[in-house]
Amino acid sequence: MQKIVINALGKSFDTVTALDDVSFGVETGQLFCVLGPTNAGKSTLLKTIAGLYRADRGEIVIDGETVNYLLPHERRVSLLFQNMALFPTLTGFQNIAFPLRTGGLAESEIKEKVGAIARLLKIEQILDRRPATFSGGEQQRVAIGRALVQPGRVLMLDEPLTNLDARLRIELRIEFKKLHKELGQTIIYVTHDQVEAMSLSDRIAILDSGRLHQVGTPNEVYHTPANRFVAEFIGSPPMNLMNAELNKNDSTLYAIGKGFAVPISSRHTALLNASPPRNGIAVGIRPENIEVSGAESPRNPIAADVIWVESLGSKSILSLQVGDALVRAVVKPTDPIQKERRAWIGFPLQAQHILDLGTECFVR
Amino acid sequence: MTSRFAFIGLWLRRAAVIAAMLIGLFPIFWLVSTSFKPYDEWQHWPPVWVSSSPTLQNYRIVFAPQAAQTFAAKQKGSIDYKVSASAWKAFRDSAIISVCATLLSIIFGTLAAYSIVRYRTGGRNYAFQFLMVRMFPPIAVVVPMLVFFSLLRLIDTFPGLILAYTAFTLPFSIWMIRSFIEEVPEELEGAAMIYGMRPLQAFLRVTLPLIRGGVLATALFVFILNWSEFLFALTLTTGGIVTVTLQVANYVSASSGKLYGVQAAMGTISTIPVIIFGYLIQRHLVRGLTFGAIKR
Amino acid sequence: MEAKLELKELTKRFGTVGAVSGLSLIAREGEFLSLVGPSGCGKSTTLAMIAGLLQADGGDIVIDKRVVNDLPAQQRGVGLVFQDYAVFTSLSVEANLAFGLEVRGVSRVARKKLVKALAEQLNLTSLLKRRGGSLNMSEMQRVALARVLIVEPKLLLLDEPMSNLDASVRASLRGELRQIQRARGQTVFYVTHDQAEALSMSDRIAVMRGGKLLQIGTPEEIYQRPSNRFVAEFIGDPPINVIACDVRRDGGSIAVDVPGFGNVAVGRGIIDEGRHLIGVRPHDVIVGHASTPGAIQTTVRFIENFGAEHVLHLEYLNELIRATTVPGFAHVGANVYMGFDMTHAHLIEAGTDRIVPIDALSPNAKDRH
Repeated sequence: MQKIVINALGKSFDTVTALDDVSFGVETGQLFCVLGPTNAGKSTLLKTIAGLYRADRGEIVIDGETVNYLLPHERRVSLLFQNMALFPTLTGFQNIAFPLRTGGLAESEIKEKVGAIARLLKIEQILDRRPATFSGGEQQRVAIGRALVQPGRVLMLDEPLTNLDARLRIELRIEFKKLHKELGQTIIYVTHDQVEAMSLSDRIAILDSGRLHQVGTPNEVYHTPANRFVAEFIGSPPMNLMNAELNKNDSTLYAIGKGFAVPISSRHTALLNASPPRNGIAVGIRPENIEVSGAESPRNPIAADVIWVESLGSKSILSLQVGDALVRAVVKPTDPIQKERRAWIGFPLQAQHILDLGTECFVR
Repeated sequence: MTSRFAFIGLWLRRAAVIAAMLIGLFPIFWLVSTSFKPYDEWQHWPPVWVSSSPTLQNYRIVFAPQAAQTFAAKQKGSIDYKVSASAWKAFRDSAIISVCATLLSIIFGTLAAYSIVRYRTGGRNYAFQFLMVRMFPPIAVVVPMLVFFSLLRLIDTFPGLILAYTAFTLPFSIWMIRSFIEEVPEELEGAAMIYGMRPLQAFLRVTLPLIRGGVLATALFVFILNWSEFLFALTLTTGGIVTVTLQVANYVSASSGKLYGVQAAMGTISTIPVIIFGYLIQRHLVRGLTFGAIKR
Repeated sequence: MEAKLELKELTKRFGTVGAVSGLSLIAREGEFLSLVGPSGCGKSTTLAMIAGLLQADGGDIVIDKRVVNDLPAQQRGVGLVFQDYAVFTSLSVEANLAFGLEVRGVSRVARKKLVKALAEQLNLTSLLKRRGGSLNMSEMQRVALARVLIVEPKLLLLDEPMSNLDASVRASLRGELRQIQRARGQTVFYVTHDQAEALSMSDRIAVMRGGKLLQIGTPEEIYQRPSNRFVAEFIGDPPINVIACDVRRDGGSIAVDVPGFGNVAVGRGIIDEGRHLIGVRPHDVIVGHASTPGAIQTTVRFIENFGAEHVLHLEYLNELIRATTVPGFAHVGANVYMGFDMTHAHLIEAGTDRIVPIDALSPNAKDRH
């Protein structure tokens, strides 16, 4: 049985629909990520699961029981808020101990549990001070501590790393992974950073404007995105999508766009013949799959102008002008093409994605 | 050139501030000064700023009218006045009504504001709609209220006046406390709820302490409104209950007209409870407790 | 090229704390210079001093060959964009953009033209009539930027302008900002804590820590030739692996041994014998399924899936070493063999944390990946 199942969840505020028909399930011990831009409804989703908002439609099922009508503390879940919400009049220790106090634990046990968490998060030395005196990173860790000390059945984290320095984020990302492995806790993790989501999660759900676009493993959403939104949201740089018209030449189907013509793979050809798109298609290819060379060749037949080079140390990103479109390609940092004005690129067939412009979904 | 303008500008500004201060403080000065004036100086023209022969006669009349009458009988040129009850009764009556009405107004106001802010009761403008009711000139509703209260047998009773006062200050309480509650992010209550508290508990034990200063400030304003209220005290009583404001109005005599000096004495004394209340709560008007606990 | 901005021994103290100490650098005309460092390193303080919001305690700030220390902020010819964008919420976007020009007495006709041109450059044409308060974060940021750019400041100062934006929005805005900057030849001084942002956008990067400038150079220089351990660890995602090593000397030649691996490299350089550290970038950690000379066996403890590549966290003594591989190379718990490609490794001197330049640090016969 799955630890938590969300079924057709809907929530509106006055005239604004925050969540619309959201469904997914999380296995016990999984780290499930909800990924999406700001105002996608991610925080609303967590708060509705926790019981701070009442769902308008749908069900929330934890451990097989429907919890829609239970009060927050009866649902036995834990939530780390985006703005931390530490109790300002309590010390760090008291903040972390708060969930334990209402359960009627002995004082010595409480001390022990809080101590263990504090050691784990390296915040022992600030426990006796008030939140107003903490740095941003310390506040964040105390808030995480409070959520972890009694995680309940499901631990929910709302953008826990967003407020931190880029450096600290990178460090804490792997700490989180270790922590998760150690605790074996079922976690729902919300973020707008797809790098975080990809790196941490067992499964990802992509949410935008209250609707789920796709739910799957990191590999699934990366290699087989369902639609344009997912393809452009996951991956940095995001997938290139170039509009094209279908054209038959002899027996091969081609995608003709401004400045390029590529053959369509046989697999896609069969699918396109079965349900022909009405508004044209877009050819999708991820930047790291594009072949770049300084000379024209059968493998690299498309001419492009090198507009811009970003050298990120371990790789370089070229921004290339192909016809009307701006295409990004990843090359090695030592690749001499970076100094050139003109390049020749190719789109390998096996890395090709075809997007139906009518449905905005990929043809698979 | 600019420095000359700046100089003039500076003194114009200073003059404006001094003028505002004088206008604001003058009535208080006049009140206190008049309370020590003997009878012939009350309506003297040109005005007597500070009495040359200050007397405590007015205060005697306020607190010990019998003794004052005896004293007055021995003075030449004294006044004849109706012996009303000692002001102590007025203070007692006013205290009961004002304190009870303030408490009720704050308690119900807080609960209503909580409901309006956290549960969006009544839609987005509910608090404002409440406030609009208050914009009716009281004189327009006083006659219907008189009829209504008399039907309910609430005329000249403590519950009656307390009810009326509470009703009239409630919109103000809701409006003020609402804005304080809005300053505290609902996630704080949310955190408390997730970690074990019931919703109302979370509000009372987490949010309320944080807005303590604001609630006390509202209480002070409501108290002032109640303490200085005249119209309803006048219409909804028939002599059994006397508030401080009514007492002041009672200082008239058939022969001498309004006893300004005595009224001034009564007025001066009646500001004291308000000042005490304000002094007592000023320690609690503290801000900034939420700093650091919430990320903006 | 002319120095547009020069900082000479700039110093600022808050009480006894040296927020900025002896900072000296030059930003050239038309250059995009980033100042990176962790929170509290003094980068925002430096920016505030250049802008004129804070008084320097020591040193000079020179803009266009003129010492501006005593000039009030509005006379320095700098434009400033903060993290919390200052967009006039009650005015339309058009009025926002025209504001600076209006204050300077530019004619209405000229204003309209300039606003139109800049709006096109920044993709704001469709937003011109909208009210400032109705925009979303990314739009507000572009308007704030446009407002500053339109008066063509000598120097554009940006203080973490993208911190409040979603990761995906940040990525696209970076490119836009850079292209605008290049098209207008605007000199930009950009403060950020995000090293990826700095690498992506800058002509040169200055790395700060504890109020001091550690290194300044092009993105390639900073990444490939860091001058000390902090710079090496701060720049680069995934971060560099820092591993203990032993150095043996023989005259001018040194040999580097890593516990568990044996001898990994030889070269020539000036460093004492003994325990030091080497820095190896995850891309230079070679992982294979078969044993090769110089490689040791290890287990995959964690995998970070970044789509285009995976980062394996491999057990080594009681730490983890990060290695970049192609997707699907291994799964968690697998036994693999790891070795180092030492051509780009750095030798870090223990104690000083200085990176010692080693002449031809060549790897010992190694299989390339």
